[in-house]
Amino acid sequence: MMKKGMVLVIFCCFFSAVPVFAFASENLISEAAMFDGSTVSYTGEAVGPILPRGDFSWISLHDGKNAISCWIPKSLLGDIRRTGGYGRKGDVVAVIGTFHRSCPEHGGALDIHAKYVMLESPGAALPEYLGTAKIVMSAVSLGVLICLMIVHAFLARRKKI
Amino acid sequence: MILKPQVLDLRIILFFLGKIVLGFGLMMALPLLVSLAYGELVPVFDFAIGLFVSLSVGFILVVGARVERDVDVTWMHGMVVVSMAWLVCMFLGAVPLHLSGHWKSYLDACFESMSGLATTGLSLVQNLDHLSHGANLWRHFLQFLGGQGIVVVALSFLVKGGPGAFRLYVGEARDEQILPNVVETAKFIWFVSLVYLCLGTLLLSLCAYFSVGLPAPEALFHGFCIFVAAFDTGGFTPMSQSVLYYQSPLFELITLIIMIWGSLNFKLHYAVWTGHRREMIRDIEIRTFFMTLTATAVLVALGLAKWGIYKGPFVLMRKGMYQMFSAHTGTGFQTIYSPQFLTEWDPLALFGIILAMGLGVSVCSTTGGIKMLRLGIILKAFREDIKRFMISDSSVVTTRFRHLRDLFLEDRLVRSAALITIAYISLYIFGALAGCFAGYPFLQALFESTSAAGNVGLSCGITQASMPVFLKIVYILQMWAGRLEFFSILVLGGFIISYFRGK
Repeated sequence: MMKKGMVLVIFCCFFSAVPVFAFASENLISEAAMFDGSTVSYTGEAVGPILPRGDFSWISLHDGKNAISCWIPKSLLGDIRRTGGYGRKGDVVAVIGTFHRSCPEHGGALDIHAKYVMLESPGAALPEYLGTAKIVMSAVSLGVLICLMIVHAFLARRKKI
Repeated sequence: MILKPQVLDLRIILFFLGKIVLGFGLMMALPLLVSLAYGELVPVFDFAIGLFVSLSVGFILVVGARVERDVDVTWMHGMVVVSMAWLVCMFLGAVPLHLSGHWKSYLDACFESMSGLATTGLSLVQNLDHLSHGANLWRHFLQFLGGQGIVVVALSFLVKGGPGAFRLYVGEARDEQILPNVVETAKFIWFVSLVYLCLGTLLLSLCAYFSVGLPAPEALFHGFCIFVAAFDTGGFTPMSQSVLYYQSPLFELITLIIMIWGSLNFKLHYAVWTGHRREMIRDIEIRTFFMTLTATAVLVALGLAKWGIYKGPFVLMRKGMYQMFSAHTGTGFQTIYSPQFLTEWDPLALFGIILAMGLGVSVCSTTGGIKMLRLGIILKAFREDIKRFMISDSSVVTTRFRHLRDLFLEDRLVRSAALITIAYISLYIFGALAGCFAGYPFLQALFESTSAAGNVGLSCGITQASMPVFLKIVYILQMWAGRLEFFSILVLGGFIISYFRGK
């Protein structure tokens, strides 16, 4: 999975003649001033619905610590369709683009304007697992509740009589 | 001599506690139905277990205590019931959250549950972006229940009116009786809240669909969650990026308006509903709010201008002022990342945010903190004292102010306002010292402590699952005490002491 990302970084370094380094969201957020305006590589799982804006889209990429919004031209979206949510893992996407500590175009948001995008690994459905313990717990608690309701009804009736 | 509470006292407390727990437990049916609608099988079982356990606890208390419905409920009973109810509901509300596996421990789930109920918004959830719709809705619905008041829930459906009901109602830091009957007041609060809920959800959903670009079902879900979090000044969001995820100035503007609307006194809402709109500009709370809003906005703007990170008024509004309004109204929505408060903001701006968080807005609303009525009264008292020095000794100085009606500034009002203000400041400092003890710098610790005790929810990064256990407990206690405004908790303490030491 990481190999494709590395290929993207080497490819971009070669063609842009500017060294590009991969960073974690933690570094980008806590040392935002240092990275402001520079080209960075960032990889994360696409989470939440993709938000279309004309010829561009916002995609939130979560690297396990934080999600960072990436501004991506629609033409670069390619096969990125599956985003993460309950019961599904989103596509893992690597982007190379300009990092903004306070983007003047987007109301001061911390974001990345993507120039290159690569699908590292496609998302997949995460099957739900219902353990026996939960079934037993719900059955037992329902049984206890029914017993208590019967006792309550019985006492209320006796009081009326 | 301290009198030991009688068995009947205990039975009355447990009976009404049981009623409240029953009402609270029934509310878990909503996330259960939502999970069913979204086809989320495991969360259905999580909520079924939570529902059955809560109802069982409620029935055990009601059946075990068995008192007459028209039994005489004293102030002490009301206060103890309310403070205990919030703790018991915290434990029960955490059951489905913990079962979801998105919280590292049951304590973390309890933290989340109390944060929701107290409309704080600090969160210890793991992997929020993969949380089920049911569990996410429950987090937000907890804010709605806590915001309207757990006791209001019980009063509306399960408890008959009368002085006993009023004492329960007051115990939950609500002293404004809107209608003559307290149950009617509780029902009115529900009615107004539901009307706002429908209108607000519709507005935000339309914005989320057309402006943000969310698909229709998600737009509706996000619209509901964000409205509840904004109107009840809670601050939870369905996405880990908070409001920043939506990348929409229009969406931010609507949430800003809802936050302010939700932070106002419920009796002012009633005045607006009944056509007395002038109250909105005459009330001491609104006027003091305007003053403090201006003062904190100037502090934040000066601080941010010094570092020059946000260039231009539009950017300053979306980043600086949005956090400031979010702090002052006690909501806790963020359009920046938590660490940015420390790395990108000048200490002056940070101080402005801490001040705004500590002040809060209205009594009888969902905001926490000192609140504008108390600050207004203290400022009026200062002015009156200065006036006294400046005029002859034989003159009599009286000060009037407007809070829903014309009132005279009496010493007992000033004393009460000053006492609560001192209690809040002590609570902020206590939490800050606990944070320092855990190894955090003072300013950082004060920020987080004020956020927890003021029921705000902004974080500068301390609130994480990895923080020390004792600090989590301190923040839980701060959220609880801050939401109930001390008295019912102090009465609970007194009750426990008298039970063991009384004769």
